[in-house]
Amino acid sequence: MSAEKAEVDFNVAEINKDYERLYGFHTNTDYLKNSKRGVSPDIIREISKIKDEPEWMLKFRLDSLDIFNSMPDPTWMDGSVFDEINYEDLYYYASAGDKKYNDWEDVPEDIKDTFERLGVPEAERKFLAGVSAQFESEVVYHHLQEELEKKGVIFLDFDSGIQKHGDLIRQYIGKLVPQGDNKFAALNSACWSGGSFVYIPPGVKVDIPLQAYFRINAESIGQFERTIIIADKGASVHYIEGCTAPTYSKTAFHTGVIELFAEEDAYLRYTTIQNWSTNVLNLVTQRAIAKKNSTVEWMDGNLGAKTTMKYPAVFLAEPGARGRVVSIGYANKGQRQDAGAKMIHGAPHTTSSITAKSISQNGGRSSYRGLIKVNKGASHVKTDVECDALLLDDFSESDTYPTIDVRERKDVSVMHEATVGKVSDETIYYLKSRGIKEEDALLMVVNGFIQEFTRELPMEYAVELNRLIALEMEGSIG
Amino acid sequence: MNSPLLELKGLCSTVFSEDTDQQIPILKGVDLTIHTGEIHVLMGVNGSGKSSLAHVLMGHPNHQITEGEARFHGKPIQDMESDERARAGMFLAFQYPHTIGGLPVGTFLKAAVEARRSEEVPFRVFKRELDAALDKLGISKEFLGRSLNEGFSGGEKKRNEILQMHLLKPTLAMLDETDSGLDVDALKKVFHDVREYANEDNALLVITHYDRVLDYINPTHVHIMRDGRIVKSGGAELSKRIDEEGFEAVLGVEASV
Amino acid sequence: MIQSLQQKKLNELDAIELLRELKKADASHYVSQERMGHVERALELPLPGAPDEAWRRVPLDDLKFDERPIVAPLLETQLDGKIVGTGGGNGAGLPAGLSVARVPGELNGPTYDAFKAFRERYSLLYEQRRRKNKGRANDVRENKFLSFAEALAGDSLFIRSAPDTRHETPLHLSVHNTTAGSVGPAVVCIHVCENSRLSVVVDYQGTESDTVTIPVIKAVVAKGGELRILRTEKISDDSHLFSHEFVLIEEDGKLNSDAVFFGSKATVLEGLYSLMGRNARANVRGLVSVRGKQFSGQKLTMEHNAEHTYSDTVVKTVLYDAAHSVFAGTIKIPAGSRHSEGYETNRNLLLGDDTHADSIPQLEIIENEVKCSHGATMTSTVPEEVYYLMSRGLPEAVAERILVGAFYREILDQMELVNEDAATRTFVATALREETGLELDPSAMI
Repeated sequence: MSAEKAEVDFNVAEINKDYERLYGFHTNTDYLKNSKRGVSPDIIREISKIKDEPEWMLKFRLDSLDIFNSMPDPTWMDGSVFDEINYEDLYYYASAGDKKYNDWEDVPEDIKDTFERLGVPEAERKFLAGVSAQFESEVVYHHLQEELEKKGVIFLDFDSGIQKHGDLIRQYIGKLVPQGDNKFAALNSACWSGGSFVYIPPGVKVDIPLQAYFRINAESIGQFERTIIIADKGASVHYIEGCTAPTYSKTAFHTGVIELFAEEDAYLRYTTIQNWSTNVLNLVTQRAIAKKNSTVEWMDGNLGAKTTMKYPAVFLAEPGARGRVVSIGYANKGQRQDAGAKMIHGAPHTTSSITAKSISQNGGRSSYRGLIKVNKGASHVKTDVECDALLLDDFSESDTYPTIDVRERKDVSVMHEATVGKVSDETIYYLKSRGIKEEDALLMVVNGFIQEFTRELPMEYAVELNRLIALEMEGSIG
Repeated sequence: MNSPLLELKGLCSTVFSEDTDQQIPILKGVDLTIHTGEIHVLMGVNGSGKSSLAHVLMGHPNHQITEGEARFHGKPIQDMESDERARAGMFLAFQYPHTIGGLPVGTFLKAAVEARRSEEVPFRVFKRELDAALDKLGISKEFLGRSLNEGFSGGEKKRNEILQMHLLKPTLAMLDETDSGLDVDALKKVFHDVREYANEDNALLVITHYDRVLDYINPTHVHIMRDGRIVKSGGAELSKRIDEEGFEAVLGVEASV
Repeated sequence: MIQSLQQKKLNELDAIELLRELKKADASHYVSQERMGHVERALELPLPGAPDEAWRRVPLDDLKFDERPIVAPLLETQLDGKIVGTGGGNGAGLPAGLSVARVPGELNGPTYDAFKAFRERYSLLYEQRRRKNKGRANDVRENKFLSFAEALAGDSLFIRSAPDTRHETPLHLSVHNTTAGSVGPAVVCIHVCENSRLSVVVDYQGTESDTVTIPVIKAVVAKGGELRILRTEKISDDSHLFSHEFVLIEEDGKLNSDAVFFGSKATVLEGLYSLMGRNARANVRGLVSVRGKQFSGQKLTMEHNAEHTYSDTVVKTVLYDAAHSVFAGTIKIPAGSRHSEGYETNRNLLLGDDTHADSIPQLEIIENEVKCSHGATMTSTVPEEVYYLMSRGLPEAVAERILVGAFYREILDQMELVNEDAATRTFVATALREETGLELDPSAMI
């Protein structure tokens, strides 16, 4: 047992070395508000005080802390995943700088530096609707284009949201992910810092994706972002969140809570590509509700992290609601991607689809864990699940753990299909016979395998994703 | 006479069978010389080794050269990977081309063209060439957006192979039973396109099971293969005899044993 | 059943007493370490449930397991409608090469050696498979019911087909708890020796009210052997059947496993099929038909523990009224089992307004040179298909019946023993008529 653990640590160190070379950056940042380690009611009060929060939010946090302390770790995962978390050892709050910047000119140089390294070119920045960048636990740079403001769109960091729209947030927070939903949701509810609050008024269509970049940049920092997105009647929005993290020796910890609300006829898409460094534990609760004739889509890419546990869910609450999840997972050496999706059909005439693609390499382990539930009364339901796993070598692992629970029969159609396999030698030979080198051929097949995901991404993300995968696969042959 | 494009001397090979975990002998001493400007037709019954010969030459991972010599442009190919052979100018139109979901035909073609030329081909240049090839072969552009061979009909797969041949411009193009599974109209069309490709600077090796191909192509050489060897070679007149009399009559009594 | 324990209840027993009785009853030293280990688990484990994804869905609330008197179920073997095997002395009425013996009562001379050989082979293979398979969080290895049966089923049955003998006519084995209110454990061991072929129909049938039957089948299919086994279940609506099966299949061995289950208050088939040698193959076919408030669960694990192994599992379930079914199927391919193929399909036809169907098809793959897939569907009759038949002039009700009938027939047609064995064919047709009103003409089922 201990030998196994030692080996894992060794793997992490080795991966980090690589990561440092590939994209490692560790900007020197002045942590003005480094809070104490560990979590206690006092720390919660301190966080809340610094943020100048209303009383109800402090109470929400303290209640959540009680719940967190009373909950055991989940039992359905291998216990070893949680063994390495030392809750006492984590910083729960860190903030670089004490003001928020409205103008790019005002953003400190080292933070701009980070943006450069993250690969957001100037032209793109201008093109993007607004860059909400979560640097450390707190959003330090926030830019919103004027026309969005004119339309009444709210796109704020979560703290500012609490300050300016507290009453609105209070109606929504914890409605989809109650504080006691799971241990990590409870922890997030107690300690959250950063995240986004987005509100799109009725009928407003935001045709450029709203984007946010997240980073963890201090040792042993737990990042607890909290995001609420509300698309009001007939509104339409695409929110993108991407993560990269620098390299650390100790386990970093990311546990977010994302709640999406799609009102009647709304369209809401949430895209995330997470590429945490391979020492991060990434445990995120993502849940959405879809009202009458609305559509919610989760586009979920998981490349990094030591362990990911993430199961985006859509509750299809009213007739005509549609839910869709397209996800990819890439588990390299020492990594475990435990991801999936949940679709709860709570009303008739609802449809959902899940497409999950996973790739395992160098002993990595990918698991699909999913739930399709059709409640009684939810007739005229159609749901399709497709899980495909690619094993790039003969010692990597793939699991598929779907659960289908159906309690209505009238015109209900549930389909689930899963396949596991390798890239066939014949396919590689075919491509090679056209002059393509073996590693390029393999990359081509892998990119083709995840194309259903990449084609849903804005161009620059798709390009970056393909580049990341090429880096991951470097040296995977011979 | 110019130096040969392909030269095989006493070529022997085995294929690895995954079911039995054994190497099974296939080619048992093949001699064959091909020059540019020639069209060779290789015939033989099923299991005679003709498709294996194509895959041995293209470098299929399960096929191994055990004895003899194979030279392309004067260089031994035994230690070359498939992609190196392709970049050197060999091409094989597969009997069963592979399907690759999520890989658009256009992306694949550009990558292959760049590999063959060992240089990046600007998008505009590639597009011009591709459009020309598509026009010439009468293939709709809609085809490019589809995944490689996914949901293609038998005929479409074969035409895709021929399109690749036109774009990659190999000096030796081998066609492995490209005629199989095609109806008469498709056959006519495909072999018209094959004929279009042949010129003084390249050579074709057309592998077929049926003599009907001979109606559409005028070979300079015809070979008959049996049990891993080329047992009879001749000119176009041989093909006519086969057409009229059949394999067995041409090879003599022992062929039917 | 150990005589001195007859009619005792689990809550009246302790481990020391149990072990003493087991040893007393074991003149031939058949009690193994393994079996003694089961005693403790039988007493101390809670009823099966979470975290096991299949068992936690099984309704066990008012089972009152510990309070039931323990009895020996009737174990009877028949060939062509005549009682054969035990009772009338060894081998009575059995063809050459086929033997049936009570364990430990009838173990003597060659039978003892044969049983010993089976035990050794079984233990060795079981240990091999255990080592091959990496532990997973949702592996649940221990089960109170299984341990209960292993520990307390004193009189087990040993069926053996000798090397190179072929037995096409199925041996019928009836496992029947005849005592209302009781719980009956039973263990059956089957050894299909090298290059032999054995056909067995296991009937779990009975009309007694409120019984619990816990049979365990342990089988080894030796090199080149073939086991064809069919289980049929039809017990009363307030009874329970918790059956466990372990089949270990060696090189070139074949398993043809069919099951036709009609549900009860709770019927569970938990099977572990392990392909232990190159070219071992398993075909599993299941038909479950449940109505009223019945429950039926199938938890099947297929392990590919060698290269070039093949498995195909198809389970079809039809649910009427407020019935509940669970299908949990797992395919495991550990590292090194190259060129293996594993397929799994679960199709559910939901016909009742309050039915509840769960499907949990799982894959755990650590080898990339494999072909592996699973699929699950849950539908009612497809409106387009009903429409198509109606457009040909059939009334809607008739169209529905034709489609439901086709759903049954498609899987029944694939069950060799159902089609070969007249008694089984009649049983299935009669049961279907009684349970669902469907008329599947036995002659049409061939």
